[in-house]
Amino acid sequence: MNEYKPTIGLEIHIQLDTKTKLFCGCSSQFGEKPNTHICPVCLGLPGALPVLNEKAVEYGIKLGLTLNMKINKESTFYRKNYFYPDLPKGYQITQYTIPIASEGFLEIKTEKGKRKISIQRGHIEEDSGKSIHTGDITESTYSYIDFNRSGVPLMEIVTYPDIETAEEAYHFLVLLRKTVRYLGVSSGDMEKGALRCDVNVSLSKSNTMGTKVEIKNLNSFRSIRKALEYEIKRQTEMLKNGEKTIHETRHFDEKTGATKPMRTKEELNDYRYFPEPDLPPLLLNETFIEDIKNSLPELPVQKEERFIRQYSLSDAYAYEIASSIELADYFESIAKATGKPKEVANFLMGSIMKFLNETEKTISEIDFDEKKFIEFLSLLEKGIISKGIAKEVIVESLKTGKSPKKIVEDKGLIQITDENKIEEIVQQVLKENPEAVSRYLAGKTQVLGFLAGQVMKKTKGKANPQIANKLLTEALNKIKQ
Amino acid sequence: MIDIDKIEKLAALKLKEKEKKAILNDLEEIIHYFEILKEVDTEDVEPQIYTKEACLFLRKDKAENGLNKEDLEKNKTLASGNFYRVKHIIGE
Repeated sequence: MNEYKPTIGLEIHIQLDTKTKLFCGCSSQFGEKPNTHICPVCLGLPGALPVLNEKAVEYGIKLGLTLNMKINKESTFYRKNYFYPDLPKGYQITQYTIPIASEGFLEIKTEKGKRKISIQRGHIEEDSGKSIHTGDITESTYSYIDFNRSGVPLMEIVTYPDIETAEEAYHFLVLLRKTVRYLGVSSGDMEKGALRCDVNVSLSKSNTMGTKVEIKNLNSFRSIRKALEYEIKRQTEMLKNGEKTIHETRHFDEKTGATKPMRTKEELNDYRYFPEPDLPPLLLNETFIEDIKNSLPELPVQKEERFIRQYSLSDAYAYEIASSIELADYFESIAKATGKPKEVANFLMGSIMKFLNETEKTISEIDFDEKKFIEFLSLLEKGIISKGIAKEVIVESLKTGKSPKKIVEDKGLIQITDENKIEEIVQQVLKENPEAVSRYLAGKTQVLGFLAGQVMKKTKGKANPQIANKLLTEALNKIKQ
Repeated sequence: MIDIDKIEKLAALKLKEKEKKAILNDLEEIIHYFEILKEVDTEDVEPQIYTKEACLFLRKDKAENGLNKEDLEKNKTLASGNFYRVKHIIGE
């Protein structure tokens, strides 16, 4: 047990999935040719005035409410001043004293049980442009700037230093990403920069807070977990050796899994925050907030719990299926149509997931609808196909789009239930495997599995396994006598 | 103290000595103006941010055309690859 207790806080930037930017009508589409969605407002040209995007406000409220936060009926915008080429105005419009949402929590589930992580604030702000550096960042003479991202709306969520392990931080982020996807307010894709996270961590023996270290360059949830594990270990060792940790920003190196100090200035940044004179306070009325509250969808954890209750799914299946709204919707529509939620969950989490992973497709890209699922389950129930063949049928149908029935007919996959036919094969197998037979007779009954496997192999998986087992046992017992 | 050389560098300008002097003069005057303002007694005065009771107008999330490509190209604003090119400033 670590005698030093880690204290972790997260700052998460979530890009809001609006069609246009926060303060101008430029498209906020990701991945376009550089500098094709720019205008005087997001380029910070003199005289251009910001006009707030209603959708961004709505999304901010949605997320705030979902994170159990208080929505402030009056919030204000501020200018955060700093000098950097990807910030054309020389300041970022953000919120400061009163953000749109404050004081909430998100309840996470870890191996150790449920825990509420408190959230301090959620504020709306604009993104900066993107700098591209050629070659070594410290040596190149020029930076290249793409302003397509300049002005894209962000919601920044700041937690209290309430997280105690790397594991908890990971679970918090996973659930937050799921939540924003459920709400449809953000893609949450870290690789596209739609979700970015900075981490603060300190260690302390007593209840007083230790010295805060900030970690940057965290490009995946895995990196965040690894960086935190590394940093907790590093700081523990330092403190154990009687050394002092210093207040600094460290850079995570994906390759080595280590954090390294970043070259930073000693003095604290003074952003000279002041109220944005071009934007009067944002006033929200109760009806606007209520309407949004009433439009909130069922959330991941609620859905998961309902799936366990309503469809008797296992905890693990319910968790996996509810992890994406598309998967959950697919499951539910098929479960309702077929009336067989357990079977649907089994095939969904088994063959279908395997196919999706292998082909890197999502559930919305496949064509295995209610009709096909019903047909497929009925083939199985009527004993027309065996369980082993069923997997083959599902994969073939996913690959070709053909109906399960057609596949069974075309490939001759109908289950063999004719006892005479199976008996014939059983006899063949026994003849070809005298060694296995004598081992069985010597009491090694587990070879039965091997022999049954041979029967299935000879029939290409088509023999009804129950019948095959029964006949095999009977035949062996006959020899015994 | 105003470091005019640093400002010149950050703003990517090239100034003659005479211009430097003039700008320095202007900047000092501006700062001096705030020094005068400091003399006003603001004890017991609540900060007033906005002069009018105005409500923020919200815009519908509808895309509009921004600057057009031809104009940008005509003005040779953009460097290769359609990027804006700026002097590297890390560590300044």
